[in-house]
Amino acid sequence: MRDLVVRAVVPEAPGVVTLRFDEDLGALPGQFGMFWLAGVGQRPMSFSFSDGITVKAVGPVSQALSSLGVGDRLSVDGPLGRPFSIEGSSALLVGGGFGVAPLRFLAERCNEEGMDVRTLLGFRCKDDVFFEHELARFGDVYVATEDGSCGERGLVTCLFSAVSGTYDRAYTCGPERMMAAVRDALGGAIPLQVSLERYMKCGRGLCGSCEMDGLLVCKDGPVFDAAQLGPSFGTAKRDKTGRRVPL
Amino acid sequence: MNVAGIPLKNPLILCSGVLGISSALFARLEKAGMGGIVTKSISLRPTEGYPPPTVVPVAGGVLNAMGLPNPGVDAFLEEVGEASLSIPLIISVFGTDAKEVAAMVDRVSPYCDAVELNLSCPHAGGLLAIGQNPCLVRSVVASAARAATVPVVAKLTPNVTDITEIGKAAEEGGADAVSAINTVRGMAIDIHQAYPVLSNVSGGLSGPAVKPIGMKCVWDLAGAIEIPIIGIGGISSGGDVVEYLMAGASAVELGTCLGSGGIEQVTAIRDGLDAWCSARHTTYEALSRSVRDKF
Repeated sequence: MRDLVVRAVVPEAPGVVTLRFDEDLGALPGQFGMFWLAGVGQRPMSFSFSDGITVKAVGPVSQALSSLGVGDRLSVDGPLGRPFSIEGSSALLVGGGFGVAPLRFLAERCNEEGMDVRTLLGFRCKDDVFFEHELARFGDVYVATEDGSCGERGLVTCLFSAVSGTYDRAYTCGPERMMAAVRDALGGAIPLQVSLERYMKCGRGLCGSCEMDGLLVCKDGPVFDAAQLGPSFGTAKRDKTGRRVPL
Repeated sequence: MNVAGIPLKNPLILCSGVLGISSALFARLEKAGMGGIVTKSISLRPTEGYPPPTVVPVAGGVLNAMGLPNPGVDAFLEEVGEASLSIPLIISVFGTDAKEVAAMVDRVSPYCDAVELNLSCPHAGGLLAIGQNPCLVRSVVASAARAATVPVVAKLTPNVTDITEIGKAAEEGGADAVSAINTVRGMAIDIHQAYPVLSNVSGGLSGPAVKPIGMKCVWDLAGAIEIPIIGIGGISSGGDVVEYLMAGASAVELGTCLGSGGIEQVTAIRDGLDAWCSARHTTYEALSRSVRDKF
């Protein structure tokens, strides 16, 4: 566990804040930490900066994290897991909802590597949109919302026709069914990496809670090559007891 | 090799509580070189276990208090049904009393090559109470042995004054083997947040730090009982396996090293052990007790 102090709190959208820490953790895009607040709980969170995370108040831990102020303390076990592999000279990033958070960090690193970056973002509505301008610093950004209140109306995959062309790599993070749709839409034409989320008790390859088809999301992932994944991708997960249930 | 009627491919067995939840992981562990598998500890009903933090890295190992999460025996046996293994599957079970443990053993026996009785989890109150009491150990093991149609392994806790007393009770109760040690009670406080790190406040220590404790327990048990001993505690290399075998173990269980080294660590340990044996023209069986018997 590492002890952190909140250095800055940046509001991103209603209910979404970025926390920047007093220490650069040396995280790589795609890696996560097991963030812990005493008396509240611990949960895995992807890094959106090498020294920060972006939090949406959903459950008890994320709610408590998102109400932290400058100077507050928290602890983390991490960075953990396999990061995105940044290769080639052009990248297509596809994010949905809260999955956009780690893609910001990835876009920044791809940009630093001199890659041509294009990002597609899908949200439910205008109020949910975040990191649109942040991501525009690293390349072109296209937005879709389900209700059409911002950008194109529809799911993120409806933006594919706007960015047709060839890319050396594609990366996606968001709701798992969306990522499965992205995989299907790309049809294997571009090497695709996906970032997965599962219930984790340990984050360190011991408990098995995050297992899918023999892979451990905490240790073999959370970033996987789409081609590595088995039938559980987009369809099944394990609950807190370890029982396999539909996603 | 055969240990207490369990036809192991080699002396390396996955310990309970670590990864033993999925048939696909069983297959991956077999491929990595495991000689046998002990599943997560299974109970009659599904158990969620404790909320995170359940695992905390500490100097020399990890502290854990998972709270025995498992999907319950019915769902778990469905999972086992999907496995196709050529190494033995040992189902770990727990229950609150002799009757419940016997019912569990009866239920799982047709699906496995042996059962391991978790009598000793240090962070599940009632269980430790069984494992620390020789009379209860004798009666629970006896009930399990009567219900079992496969060999019964009793897993022992080091959190006792004299582990040989508990080992003898398990032997008298009819255990076919004992495994030792379970984790060593411990805890940690985060001084910055001024709070215990584990959600359960305390838990059990495993990893390299507990190896000398496990070694001493195996050594003492090997002088006190006749049934085979499966050594557990802090093994992360082929040399560590050799050490446990020399002390009196017939096989060993691995757990914490899979977190630090990944599943590939099993291959490194097996290769290290096999290289040792072939360089000295010896066998797993010949190594077992080879130092213990000098005393």
